[in-house]
Amino acid sequence: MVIDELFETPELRALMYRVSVEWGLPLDTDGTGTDFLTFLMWTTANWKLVYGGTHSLAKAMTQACYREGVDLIENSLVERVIVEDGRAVGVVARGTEYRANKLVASNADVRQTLLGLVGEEHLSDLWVKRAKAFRYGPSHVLGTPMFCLYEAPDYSSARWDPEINRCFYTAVGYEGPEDMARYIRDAYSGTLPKPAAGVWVNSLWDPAQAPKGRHSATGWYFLPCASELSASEWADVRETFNDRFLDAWQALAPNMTRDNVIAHKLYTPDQMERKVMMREGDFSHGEFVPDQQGVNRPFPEASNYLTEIDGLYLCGPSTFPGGGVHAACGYNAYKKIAADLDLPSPVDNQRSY
Amino acid sequence: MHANYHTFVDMAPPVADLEVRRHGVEYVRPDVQMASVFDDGTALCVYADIDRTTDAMAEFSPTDAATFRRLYDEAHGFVDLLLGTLMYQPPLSVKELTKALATFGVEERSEFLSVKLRRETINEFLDQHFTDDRIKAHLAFHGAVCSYTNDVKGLAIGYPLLVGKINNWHLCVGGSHRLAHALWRDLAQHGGVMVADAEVERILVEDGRAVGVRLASGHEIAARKLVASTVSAEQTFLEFMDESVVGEELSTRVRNDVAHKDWSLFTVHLAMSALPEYTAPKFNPDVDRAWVVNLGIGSTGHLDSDWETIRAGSLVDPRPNAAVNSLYDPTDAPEGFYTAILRQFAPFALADGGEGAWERMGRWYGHRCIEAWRRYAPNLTDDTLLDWEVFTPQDIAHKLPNMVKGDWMMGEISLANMLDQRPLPELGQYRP
Repeated sequence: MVIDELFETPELRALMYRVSVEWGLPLDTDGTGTDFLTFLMWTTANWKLVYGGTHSLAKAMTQACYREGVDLIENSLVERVIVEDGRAVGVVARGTEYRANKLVASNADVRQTLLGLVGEEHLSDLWVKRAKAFRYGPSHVLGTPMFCLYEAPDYSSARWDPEINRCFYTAVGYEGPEDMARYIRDAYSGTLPKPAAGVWVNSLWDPAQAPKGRHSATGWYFLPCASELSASEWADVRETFNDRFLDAWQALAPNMTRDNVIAHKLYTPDQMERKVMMREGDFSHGEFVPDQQGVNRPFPEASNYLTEIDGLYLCGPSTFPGGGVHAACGYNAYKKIAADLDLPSPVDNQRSY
Repeated sequence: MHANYHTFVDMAPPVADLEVRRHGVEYVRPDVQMASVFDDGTALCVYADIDRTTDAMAEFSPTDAATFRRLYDEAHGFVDLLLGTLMYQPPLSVKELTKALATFGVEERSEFLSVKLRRETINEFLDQHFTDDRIKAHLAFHGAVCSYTNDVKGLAIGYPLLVGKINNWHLCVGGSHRLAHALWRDLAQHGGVMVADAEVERILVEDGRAVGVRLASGHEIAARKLVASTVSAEQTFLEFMDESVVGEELSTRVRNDVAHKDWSLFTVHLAMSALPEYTAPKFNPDVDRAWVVNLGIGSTGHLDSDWETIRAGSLVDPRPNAAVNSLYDPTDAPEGFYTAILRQFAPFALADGGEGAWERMGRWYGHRCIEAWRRYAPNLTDDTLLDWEVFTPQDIAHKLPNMVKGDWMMGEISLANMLDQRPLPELGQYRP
């Protein structure tokens, strides 16, 4: 509503709708107007690309850990949190027990942490009820396509404004605000929306992301939650959805023919669920709705990162402020941990990696 | 990508020095290491247990089995000592080596070692000692997988060492990148920094001394003491430095005389919902548990004619080898699912269309490799192959520019390019 009140150009409104949804502000939810005004307007023109791909950031954080003496144990799924006398004292991962010196912090979502790793027998009725009531998706459920291209897209609208061919993030396939709203509502209600996306041609800005003279593009489709479609339906989406999107893309950028695509792949919510345990494919580990946001995230009693199990903290995106590449969940969780255990403040020790 | 089989884990000093196991690396040594399945329905398995290997060979030829056992025992007796002293110190020359072997009277005490080996091919070595075609084929295949091409003159000299390690293949649990991560962790925990995804563009030289590097991003990193390059001689001396710095003579030598492998690897990576069930188990049921399986190379002649075709830039009828890592590493795939890698010896550049031709041929050739597998394991229908991707020789060179021409050994494996001759005699002691 705020968008419609502030702007009249349909093109701009459509774009604002899209940006809103990407930041987890559903169009039809009361109260999101404030977030739009206070948060979105100033982050909109501040998008950045990590050279080499986002995993470079993960590598830098890994290296920072190593240099501080941290050990990362890879390839080992945590099976449970060991609770003794109401206190979290370690974890079991791939059959091996690791004892905690001070605390256990979990970046798995609140439901998986409490119900899956800790177990109901260690929790109060209230916490069991709260954890069970915590909901995933559909606000942050994405399909991620990857296209390897000979040429970067050359849009017909470049005649109007040539900069469109150099645009970092381009919304493709929406005819106007109503179309955008319908697309989002379809995805949220469990229906496969029409093929349209926001796309990035990263190789325009980072030559490392494609061989010389070639391009790579990625993007976001908003898709239904993983459980809304069957395994075979998702397999069908992986087979066909990129192709259908290419039709929409080619209509706007005529060089985006099948011949221009060297290879493509689509990563779907059910795969994200399996691979990184994002339930329902929800990258925020929990729906963005007023009763699960802000001080209510993941639920009021758990909103200060400490659980009712002594020594067990939450530090993943099911805590405030949610999913996104901002590191705020872990950073805030550490502040709480530092205060509880009298550890150094995170700002005392400024180093670069 | 290719480093799937780690053979030196229990003897390479850096494994212990850098405490890679403390840094989270786990190795499995599969009990059925390798196998060959042959067109006549037989199968030969190499086990971690060398007694079982000898027994398996005896099914083909008791004489060859006994010879193999003597060769293995002899090689095994000196292999660690020889590799430990020769491989982990700056290289000697073949001449010095021969002299040392003569001084110690090795030749008199050995059935298999001889100075003649430096003039012989692995084929000749195998023909002298073995009789059964299939045993010879498997042993030649083992050499080829280690990049010791069976028809190259002089490579017989290294062959006994390979046999000494034939049952010592290790799988890095979670994938070979775990080893890279362990090295990284050790570096970082000792105060080092790895700059990832950063292409080096220039080695900075002042007054004839390397003083740092410049990255493609323009960022310069000054060296406190030295610059060490792990990339190819071509990149190091031709791309990172000007001829005026390197000198005309060395530039020309690097440009013209650094030798590369004359074959590369074509790979198909597969995700599957079934394990291969070979038709050969009637002969030896263990083949279904073999980590790496040679599919149908039944004689050294098979391999020889493949090399001829490949060197001419053509594709052979695929006879790939199949590695099923998830047989021994359950973390490699979700429960009930499996991963596999098919490897086929292949040319880097195709006679028709050069290396660029891989872009249109890759998928097609991948299909053919899968069909070749299916001939021996018919249960691998399309329904069981959930997804697969190819990685062509061109992809190797693109992804890893230091593997010039898809050369996954980063330099030809030949007598002329070994020891102190590698990559060139003037660079053989690690610095120009």
